[in-house]
Amino acid sequence: MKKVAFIGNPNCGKTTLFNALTHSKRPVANWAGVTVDTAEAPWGQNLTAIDLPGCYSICHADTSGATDERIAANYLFQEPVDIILHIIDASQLNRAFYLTSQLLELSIPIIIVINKIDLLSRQGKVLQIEKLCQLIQVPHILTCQGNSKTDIKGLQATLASILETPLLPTPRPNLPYPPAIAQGLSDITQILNLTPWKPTAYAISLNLIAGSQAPYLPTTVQTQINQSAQTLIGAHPDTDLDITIAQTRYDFIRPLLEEIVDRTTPCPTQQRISNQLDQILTHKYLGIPCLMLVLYGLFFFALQSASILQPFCTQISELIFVTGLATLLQQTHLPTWLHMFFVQGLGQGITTLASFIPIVFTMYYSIGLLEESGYMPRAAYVTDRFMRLLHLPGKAFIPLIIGFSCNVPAILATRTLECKRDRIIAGIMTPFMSCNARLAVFAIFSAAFFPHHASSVVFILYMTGVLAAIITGLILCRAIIPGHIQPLVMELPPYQIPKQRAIISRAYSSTTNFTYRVGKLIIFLSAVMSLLGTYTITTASGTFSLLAYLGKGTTNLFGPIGITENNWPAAVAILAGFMAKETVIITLSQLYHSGALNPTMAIPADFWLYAQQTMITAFHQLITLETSQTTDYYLLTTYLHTYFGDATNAFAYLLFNLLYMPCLSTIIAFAKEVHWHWALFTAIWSLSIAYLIAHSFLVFTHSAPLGIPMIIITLMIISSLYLAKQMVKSSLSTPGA
Amino acid sequence: MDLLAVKTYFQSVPQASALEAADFFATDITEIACYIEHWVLKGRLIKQQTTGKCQQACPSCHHSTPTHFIWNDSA
Repeated sequence: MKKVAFIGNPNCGKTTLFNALTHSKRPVANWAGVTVDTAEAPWGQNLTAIDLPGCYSICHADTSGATDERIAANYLFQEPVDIILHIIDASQLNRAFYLTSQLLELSIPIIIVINKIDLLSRQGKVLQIEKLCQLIQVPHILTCQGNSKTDIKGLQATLASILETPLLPTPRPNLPYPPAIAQGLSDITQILNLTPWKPTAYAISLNLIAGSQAPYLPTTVQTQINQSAQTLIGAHPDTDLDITIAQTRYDFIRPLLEEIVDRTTPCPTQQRISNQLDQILTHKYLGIPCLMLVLYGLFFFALQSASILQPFCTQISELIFVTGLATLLQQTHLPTWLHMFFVQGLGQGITTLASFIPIVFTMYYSIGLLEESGYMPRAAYVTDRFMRLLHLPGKAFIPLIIGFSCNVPAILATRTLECKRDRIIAGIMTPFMSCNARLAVFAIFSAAFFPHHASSVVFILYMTGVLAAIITGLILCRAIIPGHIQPLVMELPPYQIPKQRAIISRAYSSTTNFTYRVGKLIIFLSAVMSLLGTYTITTASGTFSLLAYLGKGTTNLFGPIGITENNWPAAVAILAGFMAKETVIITLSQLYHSGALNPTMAIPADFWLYAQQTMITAFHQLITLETSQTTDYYLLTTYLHTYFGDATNAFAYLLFNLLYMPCLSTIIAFAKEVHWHWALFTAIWSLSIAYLIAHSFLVFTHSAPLGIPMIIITLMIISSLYLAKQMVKSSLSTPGA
Repeated sequence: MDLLAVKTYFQSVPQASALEAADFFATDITEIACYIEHWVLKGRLIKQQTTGKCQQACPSCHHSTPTHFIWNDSA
């Protein structure tokens, strides 16, 4: 199988083409840094396509650059790539050709695809493709418009015919490097010619002279090369070798572009609209209020539109999986634990899941709108000034916004940050961003306790998470991991009208993944709960199921946040949430509805008549956009009122759920990205902050005195900070930190 | 226009914007952006957002480019 690597600048449309050509479903959006890892997919009969993260150059194979650029560079130098499919953004030719000049030096067959060709004509430019083919000696240069189906089909056919023929390595453009560099280049290339890196020796040598490292080379080779490189650098102490090399590349690119680009009259409508919008959205003073407004609009839209679909989904699911299943099982003589497993466990779990699928979908859809429109990098730009207070670049704000949908991709998105310290701080801040799983808890609680201000309450909770993240960032950057501010260099792509089909497809795919993941957890939780709920234990205070006995035991841990012994399901739900946040509301629902608390369950005398009436009501509500809730939903809100008492206890519970410990997947992802020490710190730190804020809220609202819990929380915070301080020395002493 | 010419320009014109630099070199802003990026990533050009003071100092861009640059010799 031949390997074809898709490489290009960030946001040039690599993944869009990769998806179209290989029928994959990798996430795409209108901002730089969406793809942060490699992905492979079969392409036709005998090809494997590799989607690499976007990069502006392939200099940073060491730890000095952003992780995503490093991944791309390392892949090209370490993996046997047969063909390079180099994608160029037609509107950014100057920047793109810098990378092209480097790729041409790799001596690997190259096919160039110039994407977004429509943007070039809007800039009033025409590209002479044939002349370009001659000048850079690349025989196959194609053009396309990534969002046009016709263009993609044409490209598919052309590429298929090109790839059927054997491709020769592209000749290296002999750039006129100054004699000193040329000599060093020759010396280092000679050393590398004796190693398996012979084919890419020239490109590696140039990178080494420019000051990069090549950690993938054997130590003995590195030592030899370092000596040659140091001799060269020592001989020219006043010259920036990397700048000299860069200048030589630009001297190659400038006349090339002058020859191949013809200028006509520009048609700057889109650019003008983008600039006008930017004058408001990236304004020094209006930028932040606009961002707040956009975020509020996003949550408001997600909650309101979900409230229309929610009753329908819940009613249908309840009819099939709870009432239908209970009616069916009534005629059998299953043991109690099996009956509990099916009805109160699986059935109730699926119904609760169905109730928050609409909100999960609308949230994914809303964030998709934000990503596709091109507003995301603007958000990074306007927050840059504030992120600088945390000694972080504005780019660090992007993982935080992605965290609103799911924390795991948000942790991966920190790879776009150049500095390891920035990645650590952004990674620790990310779990405070409330993900979709937590939104389900907020939506149900806020609708139950604050029916007239549900959207505002959810927005306040989100902003509390942002505030907790900012405070965490401030403490870390000022006291634990001080460092220098990295400059923000980020493209602001033109705004575009979001492509509905793409956003809906992506939101659907994310929601389906979410549903499968939660579905598996429901089966596991139902099995555990039905088993623990069947066995009974007799104590001095009465007879309890094993589940109730264990649950009551855990309430002592959560006393400071207002959970009473009677409300043990709330404590069990928090513990289940350590595994995945989605399980919190499902566990609550299952336990409140379970036999331990709700021994009676009404089964309709005539199921088919009941089914008919329910279906009519559900469809009527959907058509008339009515948002009134189902019986099951009212039952759950009644339980919440009964067990939590007043709204302050419920809000304290929400605050705790917002802030406590990231889920297991996030912790694992963070440990893989940075180090498990930092993942452990994140877990302890966020747990302490959650206790502190939820307990302080209760103390403040109930005017209660501060007691032992506060001392324990303070000790937890101090010890976690001490732990972090100890880790900094070892963690940040590694190269590139 | 080359990297060293861009360096000299930003050394001599404090708080210049990319648009002003593009005007000076009579080139497209997308072309000069690459050169600016090189110096920014090297830590020699420091990005600054527009303040009232520098808006007065730069009537040519009509405040449409809120980012200005300062050369930093000490990096």
